[in-house]
Amino acid sequence: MLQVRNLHIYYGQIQAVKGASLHVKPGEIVALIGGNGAGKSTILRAISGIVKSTSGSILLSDTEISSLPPERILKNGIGHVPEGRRLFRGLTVHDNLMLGAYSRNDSARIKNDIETMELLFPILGKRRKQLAGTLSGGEQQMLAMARTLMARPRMLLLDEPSMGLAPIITSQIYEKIGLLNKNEGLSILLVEQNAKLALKLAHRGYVIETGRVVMEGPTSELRESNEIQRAYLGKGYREVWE
Amino acid sequence: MSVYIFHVLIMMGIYAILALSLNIIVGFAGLVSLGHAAFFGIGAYVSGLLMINGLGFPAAFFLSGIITSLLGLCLALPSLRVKDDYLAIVTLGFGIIIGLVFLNLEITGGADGLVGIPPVSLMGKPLYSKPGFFGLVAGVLVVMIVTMYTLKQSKIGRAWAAIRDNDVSAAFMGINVYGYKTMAFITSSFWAGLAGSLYAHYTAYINPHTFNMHTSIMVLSMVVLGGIGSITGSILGAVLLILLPEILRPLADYQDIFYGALLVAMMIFRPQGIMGRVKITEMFGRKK
Amino acid sequence: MLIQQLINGLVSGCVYALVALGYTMIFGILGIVNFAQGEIYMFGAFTAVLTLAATGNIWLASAAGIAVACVLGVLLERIAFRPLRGMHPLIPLISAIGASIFLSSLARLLFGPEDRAFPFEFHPSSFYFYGAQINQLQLAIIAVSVGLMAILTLFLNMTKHGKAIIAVAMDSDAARLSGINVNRAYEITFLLGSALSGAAGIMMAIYYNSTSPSMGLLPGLKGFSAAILGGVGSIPGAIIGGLVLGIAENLGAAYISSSFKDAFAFIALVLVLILLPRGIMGSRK
Repeated sequence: MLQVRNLHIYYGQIQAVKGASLHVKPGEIVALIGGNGAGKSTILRAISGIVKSTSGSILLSDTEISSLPPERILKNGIGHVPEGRRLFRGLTVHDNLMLGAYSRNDSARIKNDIETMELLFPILGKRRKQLAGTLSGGEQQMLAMARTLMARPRMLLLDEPSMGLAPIITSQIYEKIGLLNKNEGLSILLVEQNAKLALKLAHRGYVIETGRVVMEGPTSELRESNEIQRAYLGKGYREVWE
Repeated sequence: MSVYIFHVLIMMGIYAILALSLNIIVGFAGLVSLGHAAFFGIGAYVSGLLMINGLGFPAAFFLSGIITSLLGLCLALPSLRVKDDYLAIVTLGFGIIIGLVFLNLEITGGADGLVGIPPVSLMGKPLYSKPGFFGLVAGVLVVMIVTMYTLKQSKIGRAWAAIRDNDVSAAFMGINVYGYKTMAFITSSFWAGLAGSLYAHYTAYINPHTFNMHTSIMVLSMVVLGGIGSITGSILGAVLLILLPEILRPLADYQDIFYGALLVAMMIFRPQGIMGRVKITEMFGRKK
Repeated sequence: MLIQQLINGLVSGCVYALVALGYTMIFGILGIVNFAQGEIYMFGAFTAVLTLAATGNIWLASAAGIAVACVLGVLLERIAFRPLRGMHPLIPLISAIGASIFLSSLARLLFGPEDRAFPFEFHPSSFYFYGAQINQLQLAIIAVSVGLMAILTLFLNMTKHGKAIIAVAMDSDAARLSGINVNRAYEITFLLGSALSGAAGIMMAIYYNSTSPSMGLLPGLKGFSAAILGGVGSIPGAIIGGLVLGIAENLGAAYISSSFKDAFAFIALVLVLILLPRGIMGSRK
């Protein structure tokens, strides 16, 4: 479904991504794990068109999308829930959802979809008239996901959905992500610092270090890898080797 | 012909001093001023009035710098309570207020301006020759350039650089942000006042029109065009923007249109354009 | 006397508010100061004067004036601002100033440097209100301004495109990820701001019965001051800032010194900023 080939991205003089390649198959959950500043978020930002890549290609169902503006990429079916939620904090929950559907013109179905979102995330229905900035962290993450879903994407890019959330809230969010994948067949590319969580949910994973893919495979394999256990799953040398 | 060339050179020199003085505020301390012509004007009027009332040149020259820097202090104390675009508009407002003061006071001659400003006299002899006056301007400019480089390397310059990059962390490092910002305005207005004094004695006649918002903006354009924070850049910017109207002079009525269009075009094409090739300006340019 | 000054202040305040709305919207969404707005005001007025002289129809003239203002605003965004996005904030500022010099000298060439009277005689009847003389023209200016402000507020808060503009102003990346075409939002913002300035210019040309290439300079600066005064980016702030400025200036001219009339606007501005550094309605993102 999504194919990223040999992607290079510069921020001014600094190269953030150095030839990363990855793919996501339809209906798959793929996790990108790796440390701070490894370039994971930058890859997502390039896929959704917020940053432009210097070279390499990004194919969505065999169509090159790397030169399209974000609103066109969204129309082609890729929705991006950015790091830090990035809600329109001074607008209401309802306004945020409506803005998520900005690219659509079918007002009857938009109304329907808002109801669907309020079923999926009941708290959003209760907070409909409240300003987005007044929501709790978990509620904001749900609203950010719902806002993106309002555009009816086929594929979701999720950047650090667990950031700053209590473990119990995180597991609620992850449960929803799993549901969206299972019930709606949504393909998901997930960036997560919490590798344990991501590797549990995802089908496949990529390990990104300093802008390169250093390891890839099914999550069952990655979970067993000694290096990953040591570097990202927080097990000590002894635990790994014994 | 050579008289004309020296006239252009003198104007370049005076405006280079003015642009460099603004660069202390904009480039060194990372602040902004849209009212710099007010300092230029205060220096010109003070120096002109002092000499009309019998003071000699060197005294009037230095007093104009000192009095202008005192007014710079008066302006800085209240306006530095605000930042960024707010500071831009407050300084713009001050510039307009000072311009209206020139226009409406009796002592400044109102709209007619100040006439009969005596020429510079050195050691009792009036300096009428243009090459001679250019020598004086060039001398002041050299002293200023040396001062600028010294300032940049000094403790004050480093404090300004810290404030420019991030004034909150500068404050955490123990830098007196408000004090150093005020100091930038005082230093800058001192040199702008000197430039005003040179201008007044060179033209022998000043009126409020010279010191309006357009001049403030032209000086700021010189700084930006040359590369914010760059010393050579400000000089090149002054040379270019003084030269431009002279080159465009044959266009007569179309002159201003081209000037405006060129300002826009230079901003758009600057990275690769005229000044972009001058690498030295980029080296000092503020990193964004 | 006092009421008379308040009413005169209200009329000029309405005009400053219209100009201020353009500044505040453009600044709110793009973070740049469109210094050429006074020139758009002037071009709106000139177009109306010329159209009126040719056709004799005041409604057609007003529509033409506003249309030219809109076109200029959109062109300005395309040519002088769009290529400079993301650069040091002084760069678009100088580009705007260049555009302003360009437009005012273009107007001098096209329309001549001298004042032109409005080619239409208004004989507004006036009435007295607590000893103050008010004429219908003043009432019409206030009514039209209030109407335009109401339309703008409704557009921004009630329509999809209006909300999209607010969203872009809040977080342009998030807006792009929501499928909003930010370039379009910028264009609409410039269009709206220019339309308001054009309308303000036309009304002032009628009110003072004069148009000249430099007529936009002071209203432009004062509109900008009004935007800052009210707290930049705030729509109600721009309106309040405009009214405060108009009234302060008329009171200052009447009771202190009329030759410093133009200074009062800026003195008020400096005072307010020093006392309330974020403006009257100020809360910046």
